[in-house]
Amino acid sequence: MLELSALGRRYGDVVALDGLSFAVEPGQVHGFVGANGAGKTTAMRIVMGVERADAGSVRWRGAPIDAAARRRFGYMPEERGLYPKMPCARQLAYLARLHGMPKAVARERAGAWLARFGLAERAGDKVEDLSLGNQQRVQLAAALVHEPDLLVLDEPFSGLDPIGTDVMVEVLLEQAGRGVPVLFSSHQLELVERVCDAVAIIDAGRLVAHGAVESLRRGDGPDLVRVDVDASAPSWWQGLPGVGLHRAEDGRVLLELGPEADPDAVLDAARAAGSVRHFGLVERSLAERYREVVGDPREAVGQGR
Amino acid sequence: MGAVGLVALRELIERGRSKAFLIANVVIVLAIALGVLASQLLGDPGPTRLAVADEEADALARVLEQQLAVVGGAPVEVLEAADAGAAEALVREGEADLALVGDGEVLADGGVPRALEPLLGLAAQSLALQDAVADLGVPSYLQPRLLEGSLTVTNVGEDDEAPDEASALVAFGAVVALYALLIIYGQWVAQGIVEEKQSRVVEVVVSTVTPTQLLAGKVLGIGLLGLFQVLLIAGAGVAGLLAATDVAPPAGLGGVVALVLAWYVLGYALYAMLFAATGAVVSRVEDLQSAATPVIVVILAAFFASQFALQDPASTAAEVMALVPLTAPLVQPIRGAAGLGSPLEVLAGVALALAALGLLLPVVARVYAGAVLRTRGRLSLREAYRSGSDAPSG
Repeated sequence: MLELSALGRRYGDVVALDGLSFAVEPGQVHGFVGANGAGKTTAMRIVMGVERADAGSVRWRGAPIDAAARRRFGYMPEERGLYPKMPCARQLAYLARLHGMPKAVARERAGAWLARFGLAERAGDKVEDLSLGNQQRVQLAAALVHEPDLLVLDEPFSGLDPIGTDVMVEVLLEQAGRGVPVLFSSHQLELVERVCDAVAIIDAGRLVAHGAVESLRRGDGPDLVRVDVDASAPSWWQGLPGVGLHRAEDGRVLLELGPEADPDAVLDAARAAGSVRHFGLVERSLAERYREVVGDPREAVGQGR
Repeated sequence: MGAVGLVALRELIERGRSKAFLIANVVIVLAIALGVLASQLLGDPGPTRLAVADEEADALARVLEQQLAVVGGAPVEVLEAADAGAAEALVREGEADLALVGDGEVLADGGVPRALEPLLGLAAQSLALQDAVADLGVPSYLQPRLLEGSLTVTNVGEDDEAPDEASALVAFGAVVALYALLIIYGQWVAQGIVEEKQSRVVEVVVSTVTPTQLLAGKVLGIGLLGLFQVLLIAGAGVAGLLAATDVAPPAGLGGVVALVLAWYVLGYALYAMLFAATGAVVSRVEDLQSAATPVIVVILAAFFASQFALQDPASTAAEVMALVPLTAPLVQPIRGAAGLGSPLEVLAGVALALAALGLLLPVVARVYAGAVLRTRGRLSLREAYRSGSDAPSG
């Protein structure tokens, strides 16, 4: 298990992390979501030891992380980078050996990962001669080649085409399947919702929501009911106990039903107001949940830390 | 294999396979071979052929011959011509290089060789003096004594013999090679550091090994490539020197080669540290040239110092520069080739260089650790040093 506890980091007056704590369980695909500048990259860099924390600590399997433990981590930095003039296979084997693999095993794993990504024929080509998509694949292979105990991937899906995305999802699930905790950051909330077991949402360096995707989506907020009624009085729902307007949607309304609200009473009121075309409980998406805890998700689209 | 070894091995293999390195090796061997060949073809132009038109000219030629024998110049071959016209014809046809046609007149096709001109003047003077002495009525048996000068050379220096031509040649070649290699391989270190920052691969690597291990491996690997080239130059140079028949290999050649190798290692270590610090603080290869300029100026100054020492290896200035860590790598081989430089001086120079290295290493390691992950913009050395104190360590 990877535990981040009370991590703090400042750059001058800018607070990047402010008491961030959460844990990633073995075999868990764990999403890491937040606006640009929320502190995701800083937190991941601290886990990987390439950034210092001002406060707090990171523990791995219950102990502070030493060099030997960290050598068993796999990392994909936000800014991708490989030796551009070094052939793919030699490069992967070199990185595997830096991570402590014996020479023969390192070579074998490098070849196997290239084959897995359909790059067996490009093994002798320099990285700079590959297409961007293929460079991304080699970058992923670089994070995986030493069969890591933990995966930390910063924006692994950015810049991937749909097929690349599928391959990435497949690999993340497969790694989690062999018991590896996988922590990755992303702005693609639908993808996070689809792939992750758990998600941490951070804002301004603080954890604002954390938990299993299912419970996170439901949240502790009111149920939402979408009603489409051919009503002469637009505010037919007013006065019902525990009911408020969440959003008006072009003739339809999205109502918030608090704990004291009675859905049957709402339906009755709707029928009394006019002819009901639609009445249904709305499943909230992670994006909607995100908007509730952070703000407008449109700000979260794009690149950056 | 440890992390430092793996990093060094990568540098050795990737750079050793590069075209730049292979071409450099071929060029070095070819240049030395051509140099030897050229010295064989051009170094011995044969005797200067003198056409003499009369007895007076013949006497002049004989005096010149004696003088040349004394100063060790290229010999002359005397061709007797019937008269001035015949002598001139020999020069025109290229049968003779010069014609002496009496009254101190010299005919040449394209000028008198530089080395010969003052000697011809002296020979003429000497003949005139002989005539004058004879005209004074000095008995013939006394004439030689009147003309004989006497010169006794007493060596008051500590050294038994002055450096000969061959050892000066060796010293010059060694210093030029050292200078070039220190610049080339030092810059490879700086460039390698910046390339890792620019390509962003450094974050992947530093999440596995410490910055100090990465730096040490890089300096070691590139240094070994340079050492290979030093050995190549030394080997080809010594072989060329032995092959060139007109230059006798200087005594103590082996010692000089050993000195060059030792000072390559120390000089490279010192300058690689300076280059590493300059490479660490920039983020783009384009910015490296200006950042590395101060270090290149220092090497250049050391090279000029070594040229000064080559002119006068026994001077006090040369003795001092043989001890200063940044000039010693280029000055000690010169003093060694000149037969100067006691074992004590060599040991003192090495000790000082090692001490300087001991001071430089932790500072550069800290600058590197503080700067290597700052992949944007340029830091000052001071900033890098300061942030190096709390930089993460692997």
